[in-house]
Amino acid sequence: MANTVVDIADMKIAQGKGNELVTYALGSCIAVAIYDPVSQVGGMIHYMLPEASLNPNKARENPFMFADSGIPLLFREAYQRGADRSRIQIKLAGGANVMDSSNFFNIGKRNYLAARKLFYKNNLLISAELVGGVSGKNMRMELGGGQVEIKLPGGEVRIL
Amino acid sequence: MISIEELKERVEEIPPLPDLVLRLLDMCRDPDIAPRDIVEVIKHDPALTMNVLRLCNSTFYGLPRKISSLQEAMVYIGTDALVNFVLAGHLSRYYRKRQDGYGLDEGMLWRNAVGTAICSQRVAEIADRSLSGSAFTCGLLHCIGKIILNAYVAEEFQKLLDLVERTGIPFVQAEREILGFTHAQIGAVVADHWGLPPEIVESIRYYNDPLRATTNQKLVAIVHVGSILCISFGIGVGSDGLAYIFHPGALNLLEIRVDDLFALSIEIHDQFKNAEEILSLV
Repeated sequence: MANTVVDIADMKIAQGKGNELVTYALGSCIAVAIYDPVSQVGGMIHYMLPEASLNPNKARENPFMFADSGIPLLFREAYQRGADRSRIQIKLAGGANVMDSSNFFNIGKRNYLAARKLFYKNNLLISAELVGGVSGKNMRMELGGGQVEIKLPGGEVRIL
Repeated sequence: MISIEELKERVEEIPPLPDLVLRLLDMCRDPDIAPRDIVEVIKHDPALTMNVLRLCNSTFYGLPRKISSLQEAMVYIGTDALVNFVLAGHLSRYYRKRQDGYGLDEGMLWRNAVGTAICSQRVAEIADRSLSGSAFTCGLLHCIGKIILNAYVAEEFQKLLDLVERTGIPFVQAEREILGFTHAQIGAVVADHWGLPPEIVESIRYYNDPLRATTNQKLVAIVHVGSILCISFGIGVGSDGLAYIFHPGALNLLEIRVDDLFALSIEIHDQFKNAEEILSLV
């Protein structure tokens, strides 16, 4: 079983039974997992911030730090490896926020909206998601069938 | 509920900080102290001297040439960084252990302490540069109370989590309601027991509620913002998750904007990656 870790501000592609993509410590960051059940090609990105305009130089150096520069690359690379747009399943997790009645420090929400906006513009539907709240999360995707597991505090696991 | 007597006993069980560390922390606050005075204190400890040199030669600092003496080290990294490194070395033994109550595997509380230290230092650099050394120190210490409260949190974990989920109160308030004390209060008691200066004790006590601080409100506001940044980016986050209140008043006090913080978080990400080398050094 090959287990590939997707770091913070990172993206990885994997394929086929026996392989897994996993990312840890999702706070306000968001992980997007995509999967094509026919080619069994999948990918995962773990981005930190919504827009590359926050630091365009950094976005050129590492596009996976931002939703709008990283997510398109995730799809492009998955397509190049054989995934087909018509079959792609999209699953999201993360985007937690600290408690803030002023809605000032809403980075998790902004991260989530950035992904939603991209998918909407490209006519893509989110298949399942576990976003928001105040819990940290880990995400794991198995590439044989595309099952995505989200691990919550206390060991609870949810299947997306 | 934990009784005051029981709490005192637990705190007494924690070994004191070595005199060397306390002395260095004191010297740091004295504007008349010269770097050579600090060198005088450290040079008698060969293991520490070697570690300081390893730190200076790590990629974290990325210095252009190899540093081979303490005097040179002081020139490059400065007094505050050196003292913080020595403090970190002593704290790591407490922080590295698993903290099951908070759902933290081995080393995760340590990552949270170092992550908050780095975030606080960076916030200080844009808010008030003169506080950057102290901000790092306070960041390292802010969650020290968790090493005591951990065992009690473990016993009442489900109750705590249910209370947070059901009522939407922050985790520290659930600690107070179910256990009688918050990890911040207990951390302050530990810092006081160690004889740390009042502004450090205060920063631990009020890092979740910075506007209640009276000794150095700005420093506490910096550590507050640093701790919020650290958990937002998932560094050493446990079962208490992001269930902490963000106080926008801290930003007003520091005269910084939320967007400054987002820009800062990009640099912090890079810095933390380099700091992982330091995490393994101390």
